[in-house]
Amino acid sequence: MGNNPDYIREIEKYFLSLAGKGIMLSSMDYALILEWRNKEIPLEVILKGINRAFEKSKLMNGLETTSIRNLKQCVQYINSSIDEFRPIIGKNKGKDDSLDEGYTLDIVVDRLSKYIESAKEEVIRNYYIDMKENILRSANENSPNILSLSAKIEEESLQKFFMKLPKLEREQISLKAKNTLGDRARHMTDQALEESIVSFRNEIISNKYRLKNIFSLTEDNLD
Amino acid sequence: MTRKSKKIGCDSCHWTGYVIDDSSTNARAVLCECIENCEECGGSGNILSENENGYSYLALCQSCGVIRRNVKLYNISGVPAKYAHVLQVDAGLDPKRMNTSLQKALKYAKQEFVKKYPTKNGFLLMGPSGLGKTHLAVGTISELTLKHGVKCMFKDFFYLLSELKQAYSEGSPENDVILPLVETDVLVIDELGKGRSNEWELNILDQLISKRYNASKKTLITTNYVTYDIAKEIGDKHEILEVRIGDRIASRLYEMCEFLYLEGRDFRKEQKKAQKSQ
Repeated sequence: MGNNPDYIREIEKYFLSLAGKGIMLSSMDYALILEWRNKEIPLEVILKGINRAFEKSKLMNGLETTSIRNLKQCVQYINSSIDEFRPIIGKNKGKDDSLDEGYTLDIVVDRLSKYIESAKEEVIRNYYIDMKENILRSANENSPNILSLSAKIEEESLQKFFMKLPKLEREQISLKAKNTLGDRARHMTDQALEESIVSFRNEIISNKYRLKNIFSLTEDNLD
Repeated sequence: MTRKSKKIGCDSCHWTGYVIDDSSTNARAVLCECIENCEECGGSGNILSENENGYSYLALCQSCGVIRRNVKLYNISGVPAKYAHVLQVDAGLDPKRMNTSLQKALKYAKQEFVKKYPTKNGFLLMGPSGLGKTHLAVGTISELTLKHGVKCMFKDFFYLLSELKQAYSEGSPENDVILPLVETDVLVIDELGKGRSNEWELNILDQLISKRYNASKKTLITTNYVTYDIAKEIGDKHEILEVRIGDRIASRLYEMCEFLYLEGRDFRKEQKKAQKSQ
């Protein structure tokens, strides 16, 4: 795809067909297309993003009119299209590993924002808000790899969530977590035992309160 | 289940109770002197306890019993000596230098598989050489044996088949050959699909995987081959895993393992490059 000469032409043609007569792409627009081509973003993903940008614009401006005059105005939608198709794009060979961080931080923040929006209970909304703030703060301070950071912050947030529960409920959850380990606990070192109990406890809390994980490995384990 | 273990260890063993010896083919954990001279049990590993009915019984020493038992498990797990330094899943892995696929694999291995053992599926790590697949698998079983007391075994696919072939040719009963591999709680099969497997070898592998599947045992696999789906997505002309091992075995593995694809640059090549430039 990276050497496909039609890549630029296809995007140009598609954009102009939606934007209407009297519009030309600027050099900045071509630079954007080249950037996508270099990153080996599939053509279909870009076209989908453009399409969404126009649909949204038409919804806002009335059915047949659009305020989009250049590709840059579609970037937001193209980026979310890229995020959405990232499980597939991510496997392209030769991609720049350094791109991972930016994309993934965006994904994390985007997901958490959606969770915050859809959370009905205040305590759960606060849980996501707290986690989002922590991730943004830590990511800016240290620029670490975002997945490990998210996992760590998610665990801390679950711990805080647990501590805010009533004492009786905390005891019940802890007991359930210990029972999951059963007899195997006898052969575990103290540290491993503690880590496993916390892990099972977090899983119980997540299931009980339907707390969504930032990264669900079974849902998108290959992105 | 409340336990009040006494902290044991010393600076020589970094407060683990053992040191690792990598001087032979397989890594070996050796009990540290501080454990050998345990004050609680006098170095026997057991203490005489009494239950609520007044009956005496021999119990594991609360200070060193778990370590002694787990060191034995580590020593029979067959971890290759070159991985002697990998004693936990994330040993030597710097999150800042890992790409997303490796981080995801690490997260699954550590947070899900090890910490929530045995409630989660095993995993199958696929991808090119030098990305840390074996490292992750070894780290997983080292942590499971030494810290969780789980019986694990590491087998290189190629050697596994050679051993099985030899045992069969010597007339050993089938169960004697395959049973230890079925009974171990966690089995690592390293470099699955390596070499040209004939029908007999695939049949034996099929038996092993099926028996482990039926016994609900966890299996961890590393392979350089990728599944049809991944090959299609990355446009790779790589040989396909399902072709190497057959659809039947692959189908079982799909049920037993989380399939995790690793991508990135070969760290061995990178290391060599860095050494050359120094």
